[in-house]
Amino acid sequence: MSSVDLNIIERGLKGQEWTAEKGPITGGDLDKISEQRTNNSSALNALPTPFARFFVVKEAFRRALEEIKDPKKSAGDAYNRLVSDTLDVFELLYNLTFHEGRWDDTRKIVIREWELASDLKNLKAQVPILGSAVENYIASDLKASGNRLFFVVLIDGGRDYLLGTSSPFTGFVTPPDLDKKVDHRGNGTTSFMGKRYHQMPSLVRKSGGTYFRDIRLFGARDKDFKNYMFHLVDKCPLGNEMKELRDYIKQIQITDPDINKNWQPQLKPILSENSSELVVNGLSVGKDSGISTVNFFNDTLIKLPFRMSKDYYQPMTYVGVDDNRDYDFMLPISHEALSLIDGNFQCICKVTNSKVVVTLKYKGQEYTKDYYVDSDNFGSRGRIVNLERENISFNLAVFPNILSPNRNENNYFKVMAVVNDATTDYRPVSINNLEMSFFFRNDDNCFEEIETIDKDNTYAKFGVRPAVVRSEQNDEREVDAGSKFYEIFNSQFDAISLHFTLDSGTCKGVLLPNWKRAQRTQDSYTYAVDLGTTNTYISCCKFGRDNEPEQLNMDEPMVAFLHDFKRSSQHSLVSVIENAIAPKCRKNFNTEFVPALIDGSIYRFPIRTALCVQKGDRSKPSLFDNCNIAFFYEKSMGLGNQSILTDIKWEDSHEKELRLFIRELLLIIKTDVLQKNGLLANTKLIWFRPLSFKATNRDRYTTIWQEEAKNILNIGSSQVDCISESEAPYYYFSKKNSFNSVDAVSIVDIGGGSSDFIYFADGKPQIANSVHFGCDVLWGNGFSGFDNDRVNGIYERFVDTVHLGDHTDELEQLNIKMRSDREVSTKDIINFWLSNDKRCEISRKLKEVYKPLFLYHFASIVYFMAKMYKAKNLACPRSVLFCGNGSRYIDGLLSSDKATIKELVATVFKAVYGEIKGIQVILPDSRKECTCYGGLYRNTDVEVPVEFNFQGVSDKVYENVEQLKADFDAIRRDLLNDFATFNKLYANLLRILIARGEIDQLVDESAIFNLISSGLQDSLEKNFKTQVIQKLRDSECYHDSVFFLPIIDNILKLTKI
Amino acid sequence: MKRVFVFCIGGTGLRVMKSITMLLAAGMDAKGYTVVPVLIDPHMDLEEKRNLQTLIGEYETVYNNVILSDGKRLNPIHGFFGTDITDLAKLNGQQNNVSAPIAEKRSFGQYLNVGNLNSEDVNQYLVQTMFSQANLDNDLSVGFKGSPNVGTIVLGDMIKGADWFQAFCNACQKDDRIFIISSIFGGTGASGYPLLEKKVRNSTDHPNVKDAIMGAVSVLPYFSLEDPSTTDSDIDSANFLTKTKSALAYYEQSVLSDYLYYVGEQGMKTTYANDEKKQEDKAHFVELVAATALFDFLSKTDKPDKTQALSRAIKEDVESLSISSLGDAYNDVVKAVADMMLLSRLVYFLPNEGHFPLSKNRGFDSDFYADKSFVGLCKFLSRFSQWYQELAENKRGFAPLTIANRDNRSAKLSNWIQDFSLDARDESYYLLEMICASNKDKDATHTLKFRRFLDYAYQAIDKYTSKIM
Repeated sequence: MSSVDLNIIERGLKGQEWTAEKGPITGGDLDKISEQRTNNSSALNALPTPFARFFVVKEAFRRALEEIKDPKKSAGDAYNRLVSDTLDVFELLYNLTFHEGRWDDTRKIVIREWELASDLKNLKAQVPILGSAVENYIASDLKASGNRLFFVVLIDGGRDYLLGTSSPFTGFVTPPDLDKKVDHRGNGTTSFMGKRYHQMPSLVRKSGGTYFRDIRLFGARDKDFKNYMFHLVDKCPLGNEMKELRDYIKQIQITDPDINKNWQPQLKPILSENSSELVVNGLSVGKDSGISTVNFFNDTLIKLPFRMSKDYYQPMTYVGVDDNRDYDFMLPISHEALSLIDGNFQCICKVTNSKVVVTLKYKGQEYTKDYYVDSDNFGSRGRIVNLERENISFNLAVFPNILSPNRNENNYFKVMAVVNDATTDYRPVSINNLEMSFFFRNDDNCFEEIETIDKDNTYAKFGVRPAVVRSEQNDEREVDAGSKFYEIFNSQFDAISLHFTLDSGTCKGVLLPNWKRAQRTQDSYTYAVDLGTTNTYISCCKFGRDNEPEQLNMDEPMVAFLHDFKRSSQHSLVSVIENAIAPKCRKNFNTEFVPALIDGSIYRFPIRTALCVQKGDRSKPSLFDNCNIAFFYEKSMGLGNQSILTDIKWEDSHEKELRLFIRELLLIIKTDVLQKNGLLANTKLIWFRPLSFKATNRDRYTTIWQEEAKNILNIGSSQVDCISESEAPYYYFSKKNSFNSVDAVSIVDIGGGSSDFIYFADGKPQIANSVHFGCDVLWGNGFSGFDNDRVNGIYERFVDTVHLGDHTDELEQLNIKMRSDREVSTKDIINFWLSNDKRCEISRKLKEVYKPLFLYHFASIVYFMAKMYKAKNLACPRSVLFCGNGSRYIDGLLSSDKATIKELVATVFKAVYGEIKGIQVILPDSRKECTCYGGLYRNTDVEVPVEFNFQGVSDKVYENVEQLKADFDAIRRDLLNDFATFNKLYANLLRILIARGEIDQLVDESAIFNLISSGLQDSLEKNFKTQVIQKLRDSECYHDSVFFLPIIDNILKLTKI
Repeated sequence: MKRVFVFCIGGTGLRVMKSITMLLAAGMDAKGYTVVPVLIDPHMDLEEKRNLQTLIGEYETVYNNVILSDGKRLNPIHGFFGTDITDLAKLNGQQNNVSAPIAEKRSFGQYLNVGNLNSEDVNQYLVQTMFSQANLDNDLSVGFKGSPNVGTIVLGDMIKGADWFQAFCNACQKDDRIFIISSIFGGTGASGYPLLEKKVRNSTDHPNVKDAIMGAVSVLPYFSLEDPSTTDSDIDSANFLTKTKSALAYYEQSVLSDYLYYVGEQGMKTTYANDEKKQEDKAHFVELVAATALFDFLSKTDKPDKTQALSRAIKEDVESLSISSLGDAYNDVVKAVADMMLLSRLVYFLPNEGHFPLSKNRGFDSDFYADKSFVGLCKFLSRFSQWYQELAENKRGFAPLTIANRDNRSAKLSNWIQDFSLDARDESYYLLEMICASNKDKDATHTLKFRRFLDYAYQAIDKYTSKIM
């Protein structure tokens, strides 16, 4: 019997004494040792080196290789876990793009570096014992590391978890705390050794299973990953240190049909935080950039509680559900997929009782993901997020919804999102929980995210402006929902990615806009914009056509709302669209954005010249972000955080708001041109200025119009024309041949704030005059220095009796609100009543009481006009045309009988001129419109009328205030005489009305006469001081008339009769 | 007197030292070397360590009782307790135990002071890569729990500038030798051995240390532990072999000893309780064999040019080893153990032997048997018997003796060594030989009855047992 060695290997000793052998036991001798399997991960450290972990993992690969070669040599769970965990690090990095596409912003992988020179120094300084040990061993044990280690770190919710450390032997090692222990005495559950990992989220592999938690050896892994690893160890020049890893992979390759030696990788390098490529001892660790590993789907499928507009957004193709469904799903395409997809793709949505299966067809391949209602996103299961169940009302709208064939002209898009959370008591979701990002198709037809560019960055060619939250839901402040605006400049966008943070978790979805596309034609249009003090009107006509001008009306929406709507012959398109918006979101859209379309009915020009602005800080007005045209003004209530700005035309302090008003008008015009397939670059623009505009005002307006037209319509200043408001109507009516005689025609344009006069002789303008005396003076408070004074007699008389319905009626609520809002002027309130005359019958009430007032206003205008023409030795006008929205009071409140009006005018003319020929008085139906229309037909070569500032007494021209002041005594004397004459004339006119039955005979003529005759001198002198001397410098020109200074006071007096 | 410094690292080192002590007591020849054990183990409270220290202390007591006479220091006797065992403190004239600082009370993390590391420092990841939280939380007073990566740092730091190492360097003289005992599969031994080797060979300031002949016994796996899943232990004997393979591969190029002894066990393994706080493992044959490495090492006369690796075998693969299954090469060990067990039998019955002439001639009377010297011997022999019992009962068993009932005065003793026939048929043969030895004894240089007792006993026993050599 031979001896039995007292050794772990049989070395064939002959005797039993201590026997010298050829040398210490070598690595070669070790192969003879048969080992046991072990499942205990905590007992693997074998070597007296701080880097024992690296050798343990190396041993694990050796054991795993042995087991492959001889399955009887089971390595045991402990070593298999190490192999599996190490492969997990490789696989996680390989599929990094895939995973990061699925993770939210709080989770990511970072690669950190440890450099011998600097970091060992720190270690020795802080932990000297360990530092010395590392220094002693690293050179011998980790020589192949190149004195650099990489750490693969998972950052999740602010916590970091070390997942792996680079190893020159096996690529990576995992930290020992990531090892597992099995609860043998309990239910056999496996948990991480280290507490630090107990909170680590489950990281689901692309192919299923969970990284670092289950055991998945190489042969059982995803095909792509196996090919990658084989490629890695086969192609990279590896030293003998990596023998175990390399041999393990290659041994499996021998029998694994999944692994193809010709597999071609599509890899991108992985970079550390210091921008070093992750190369471990010659092993170039990369991440897959191939399309096959793209995570095409989000974990969530957002269910909208309404049908999505097919006209404006690409829906999925539905299978298994009829077309009458009342919901739609957003596309669950992942952010990552969007970044990689080029060309076309199709999404098919199959709805079953238990789940929704979404299939993406792309480049001949199909990718599928299942979504469940109550899934917790575990593994590959997706979760359906039903916004209705979450109590969320949501919608969004894009303006404009049409693209120009000229890409440069697609330079402005505004996206508005509105969110209401109906959860009571505790409201988990606000507009801040919604984030959106935008993608465009680049030249390679790939989606590319559009970067957010701050406004201060003037170098960016295109981008998305930082999102602006305009409103936040606040029931107490009557703000129904939160709203947020995104502005995309100098680029269209082809996809919107939405990211909601809801009470149930985060969810994402994608919308693909279906843009309307304008066709390339040579059609060109001219637009005329009459931006009046009170109202604004736009009309347009096509070049080369002698047709009647048109007002700006649209047949199709200019806004792409997310929701679908059914067109109806019974209801207007606007109401159909607006009513389909969730009620809690509707008011935000109606008040903070452009209307769905200018349909000519619900939304039509003229509109009130009013802006909706946010209460509070108004130092930085920005279109839609905090300021927009108040299309809803006088029609419906705004939100509690809004106020209305009406005096934007004349107030210097509102220049920024004025610009935004013009910008929004031009955006609407641009949309209109594109909807008509017009050539945007050929568009012409006409705007109107009052004659009374000061030079500074004119320059300011000119700058704004030209700049905005350039930015929005892409047209130069030569295509932007300005003409005076008052001359324009002449050309329209002349074109229509409306004048009986063109020998002497007077155009009287009565606006809200001013009245303009132009005298034409034989078609040529002779003189022009403008006075700051419009119809709003009837509703205002004279020369009160306070904008919000409420001493107007009409207001005082009716404020408590005018109602527009019961208290639940929205208009009545608006009425109450305007009355209670001290910032709202009497002028705005009475104009509101007039706008809703059908509801409150204010016209009837005014006519019953205030005809003497309206007559006084009318008489003063006509008298002033006649005196002016007479002073200039012009023939008495044969035709007098009243236009401007302000002139509506003439036939609307004073007398609807044109003969009466004609008699009144003729009476005044006779009083001034003596004998006159028959005159024609025109009160056209299109009162406001005629200015614009006229602008469209005015030849560019016509003469410009000479402005004549008539002070009411002579033809003397006062070039500045100083001259006026010097002559004021004479002017006052003459005017006071003149007022005496005028007052008598007024008394006659009053009698004409009484005689014609227009006024009740019970009116106290003498009382009215006394009223208007008293205090004239004081009024004239006081107002000359306060309105002329105190407001203007001596050198400035007074573009107005002192004639009206006492008249305005009298008007206020007459409101109190 | 030349000395051999025996560094005993970790639990295995302690157990092997126990066997060495027993063999020295039993008369194994240390070639004139004084044995200086240095116990290296951070286990503060390890009972086994305390027991060993007690055992060595008791050995020294017996030894001193043999050689110290009226202030004179006599030569060691041949046979039982023939070798001096001393410690570093005594060599340096110190009273305190210089090995005390190598025990540690703090946790590993506290010891390193990892809490001092900035939380943002990338070195945090390095620490996490090298050590588990359990490693860092591990109380060093219970050892390294099978983690040599921890051990190497702690011991490395402990050895660096340690008082005891300096004491060793100071004490080490020309021709002194160094012997290191450790296991390769545990925590302390596996980490301490290469550290100590390096430290010795790098002691350029102490050429006697640096150039000393150095031997080491590396104990390979020879026992199993209970399933750790039942005790939550961090030590799993299932991977002892894997760890050993890994360690051997790691050491392959770095062995610095002149003689490297391997001893382990392939198949016949016992299973101990898996509780590192206790480690009350019974004495094992492999430890005994490892102990014999020291004696082989001391018998070497030359310093080889390169490391000489040595191992040994047994003749037969049996569960319980006898002198025949062990093989002749173990006869010296068998003889020593047999001698000591016979001494134990003599010591047991002699105090009650009424007709033993030496009780009068040499004063081996009741006072002698009640004297602390004899009591000390009895105590030691009691431990020896227990040790042998453990060896015999362990797996694989070292049981070459047939221990007769010691109360049976007429028991046959000719088969005291199994498979071998001794000429001494019963106790009377040995008593007679003691009388003969006494008669031959003319030494009048001392009055140590105890020295004479041990000397006569050894001569009597050796008379018969030397037959097997």
